[in-house]
Amino acid sequence: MTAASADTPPLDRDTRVVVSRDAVSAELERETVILGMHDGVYYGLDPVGTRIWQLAASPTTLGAIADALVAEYDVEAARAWEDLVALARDLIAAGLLERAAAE
Amino acid sequence: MYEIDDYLAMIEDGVRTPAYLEAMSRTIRPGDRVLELGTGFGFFAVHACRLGASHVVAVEPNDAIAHARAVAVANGCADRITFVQGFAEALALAERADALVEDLRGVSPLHGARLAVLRDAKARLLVHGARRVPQVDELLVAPSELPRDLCRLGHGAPTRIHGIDVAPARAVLRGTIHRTRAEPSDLLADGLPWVRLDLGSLPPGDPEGAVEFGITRPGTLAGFVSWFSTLLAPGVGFDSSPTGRRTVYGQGFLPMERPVGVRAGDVVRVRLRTRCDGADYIWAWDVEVWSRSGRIERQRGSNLLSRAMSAARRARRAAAHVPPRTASIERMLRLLGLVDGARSLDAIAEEVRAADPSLFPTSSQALRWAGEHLARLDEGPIL
Repeated sequence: MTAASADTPPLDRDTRVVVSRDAVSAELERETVILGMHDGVYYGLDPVGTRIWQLAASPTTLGAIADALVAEYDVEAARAWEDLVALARDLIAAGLLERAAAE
Repeated sequence: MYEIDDYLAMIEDGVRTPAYLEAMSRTIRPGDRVLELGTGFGFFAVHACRLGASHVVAVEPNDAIAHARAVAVANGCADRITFVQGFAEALALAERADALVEDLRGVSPLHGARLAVLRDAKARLLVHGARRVPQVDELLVAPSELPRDLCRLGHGAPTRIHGIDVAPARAVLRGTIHRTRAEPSDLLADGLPWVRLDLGSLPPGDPEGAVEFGITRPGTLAGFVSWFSTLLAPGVGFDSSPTGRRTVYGQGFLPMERPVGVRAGDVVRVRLRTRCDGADYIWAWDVEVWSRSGRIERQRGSNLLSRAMSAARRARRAAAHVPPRTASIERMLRLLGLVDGARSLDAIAEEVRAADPSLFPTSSQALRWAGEHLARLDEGPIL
């Protein structure tokens, strides 16, 4: 499965991502507060977003994250992928998630 | 907030105050209009008068300023000092000042919104080329073992107290910058500067920097001790180093998530970034530890956790949040609607009480509620 827009390269299962070094985060009450040190903007992640953030702490593929979400939550693979890509796209645009180099 | 005792401790500091007094004597000229930010109870404002200042505007948000006029009277210069309780950002001056005196630091020069306040003062309140005390602050760090007065940060600290698991609360300690009085023996290398702040020409943005240390002895890297060095005037300054004379400032401690054993010759690299959120600074420190065989550790720390609001408070401040018209909001709207420039606070309070008799059974309760809320709007910017 792939997802693409006119502005960004496509995100697919093999796309490697990692939390940006510009992002400082703290978990609180099962949610995550993120501060972009490059722009001073705060972001918040709900518990599922928090789990995605935890999985991206080290370089990993979007496919691996999606598989983990399907295994850990009661969610269909297509829905998990759709929600993951939407969040990943937002976090990449905000400079909080980066595409990681290939292994 | 500081108490009078805190201000007296600052004035009685045997390093800070003599240096400030000497620097002011080299900076302030007879006839100067002087602006002092953070005057406390007016000590430096009085000294500015002794040096011949024609007028001093001394600003302080804390109630300590209530005692400043008495200090000025006792020293015969009350006619030359205007004390203003509030924040500098709300201050307007008929004439710009020739000289600025301030010590808005806390443990660190990056305290509150100090740099934003200094930029604003330069733009609005000071003449071009105004003289100032201090002139330059330099921030330093050193890799360190855990200072003795922070033993509760140690990984050996109990996670159960009287049978109650407090581990989630202890975890916050590792997301906090702590105040400490470190000993020279705590340090694993000499301190190095990571940023220099020219206070008269601060660039936009927030301070950041990176340093590399060669570890000088074996030990356990628990974090970084942080302090500053200041140039108040040419030839006059001091520092708050753990290896120097003790000062009222103490030092800061930036903890590692996990302690790391290090040996002499290991290299520790730290990148420090800061971001002012309007009220205070968020710090992030990225640490790498290298031995001769390669990188042995990489960690990130920050004080974000200690400043993170609860989810409910964050949600109420989110851009997409639609504030409901709760009873509290209705009450506040009614209060603001009563302010017409003619009604006294007493009359306003009576209207407030009549509208909510169950919440305000007495006139004094209504007066206290109305007075506090209106005064807060009037006494300075909401950060």
